[in-house]
Amino acid sequence: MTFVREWTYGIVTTIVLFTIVEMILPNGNIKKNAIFVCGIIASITIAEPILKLLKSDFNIEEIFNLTEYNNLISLNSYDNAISSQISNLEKVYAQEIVTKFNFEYPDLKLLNCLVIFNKDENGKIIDIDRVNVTTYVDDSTIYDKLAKLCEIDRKKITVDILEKEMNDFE
Amino acid sequence: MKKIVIILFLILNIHISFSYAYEFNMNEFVSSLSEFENEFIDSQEYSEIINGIQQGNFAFNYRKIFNNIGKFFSKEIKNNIGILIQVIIIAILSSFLDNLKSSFSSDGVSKIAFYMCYVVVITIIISSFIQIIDLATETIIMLIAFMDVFLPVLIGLVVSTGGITTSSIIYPVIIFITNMISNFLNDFMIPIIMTAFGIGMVAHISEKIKISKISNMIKSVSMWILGVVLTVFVGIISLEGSIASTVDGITVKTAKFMFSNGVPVVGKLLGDSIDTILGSTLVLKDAVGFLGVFILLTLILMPILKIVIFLFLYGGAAALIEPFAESRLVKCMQETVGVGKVVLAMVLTVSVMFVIGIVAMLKMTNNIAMFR
Repeated sequence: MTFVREWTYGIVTTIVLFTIVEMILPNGNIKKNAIFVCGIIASITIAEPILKLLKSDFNIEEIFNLTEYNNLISLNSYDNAISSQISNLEKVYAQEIVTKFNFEYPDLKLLNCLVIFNKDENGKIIDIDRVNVTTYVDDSTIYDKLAKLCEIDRKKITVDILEKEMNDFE
Repeated sequence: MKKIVIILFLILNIHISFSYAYEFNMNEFVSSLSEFENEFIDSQEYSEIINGIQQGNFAFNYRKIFNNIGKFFSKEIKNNIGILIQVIIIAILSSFLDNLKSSFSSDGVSKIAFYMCYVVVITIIISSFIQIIDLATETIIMLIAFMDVFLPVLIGLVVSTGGITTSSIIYPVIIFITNMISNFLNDFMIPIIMTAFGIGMVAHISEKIKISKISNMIKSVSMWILGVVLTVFVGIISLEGSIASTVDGITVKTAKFMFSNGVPVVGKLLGDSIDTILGSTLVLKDAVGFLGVFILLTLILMPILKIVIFLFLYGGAAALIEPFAESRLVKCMQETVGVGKVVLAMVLTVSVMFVIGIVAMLKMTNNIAMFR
């Protein structure tokens, strides 16, 4: 609304200035003419928005900050909603894997899990791209067990093994 | 097979409806609203009101509210009477100086004396007008915060009376409109009102060059905009709700019919129990909705009283100084009162809109129970 503010400032300063002019000028014929000219200038100041409208570079987006609103709207757009939903789904799925695995095999404790889905161009989920888990236990059977649990190919699974001492240190 | 599937679907539907009613926690709801208590209502009274309405003996102490209004009014008048006296003294001073015109050497001196008085009056007016504008902005923000807290609870209760379609249609519309209105008022109406006020202040400063019509035009435009926004809001809410509630009513009636006739042996019992649960959640929903409208009204009471006192003060000042003072001072005060009316209209429009939104939602969802 900077445009409206400038317009108001313009009108107010013009009127105050012309009041001073009217006060300073001596009484006489010239004062009448001067006040007439001042009135015309004041009316031009009031009509400034209309004059701007006639110009070719008049841009309504600048007056109402429409670009800002457009940015706000695009932030909450459908695509963003879909992608955030998919990342939420991935998190939930990973959490589910950790909980189920730790329940079934308490000696092989999974610490963390990261699931990434395959998506088509419309953002629809096709299948699981890869699963990455973190654990302390160095056990090769973990691949088969995970593959059985998630019902995916064992090539898609990667396991990071952390040093047990680091945990104790912490 | 088809029959069983339909019955299962309806059971699921009804289950979704009722599960919220079981989980509705009165204490949690009341404590979430406790930040909106004010001098007219305590947060301890919230649960009393809800329980009173549910048992059919609503006995709120209205006398207390009226007493508080009276106290508030007199306190505010006492606080602000100094402004009125200041303005009157300056007006007397300016007309006194005007009478001394002949004893000054030139005409310009008395003019300068008048402008000094005018500037002092304008300064007083601007300082109190800025307070009014701030108050209006804060009120609107607070009303929207209240709606954000209150509406999810009300919508949950509407769902629990079987209004699944109604709530899914009305809720986004109301949330969208409340947020749009807050943006619209803060980014559009307040600057326009300030413009009208600024122009109105200098409109009568010169005897020859007058620009009072432009500020009148801005004022009437903003009044028209407020009226159109209110009309559109009421139209959208009532149209969408009346359609959706019919759909919901038919759904609930079908569910009841299926239970009564489709389920063997205990069907009649189940159908009647659906009726009972719907009726009781309806009472709870109405009680909560009433409490919401009540809190909303007490929230806007204080700002509206303050704005009304502002209007009274300057209107009274204009009336008091008119017999002796310069007409330009009187007109300046009239402009202030005119712009203050627009601010009052803005606050009233927002609150009326929200009250209508809540009440319309309550009445429409009662249609669901009417399908018997």
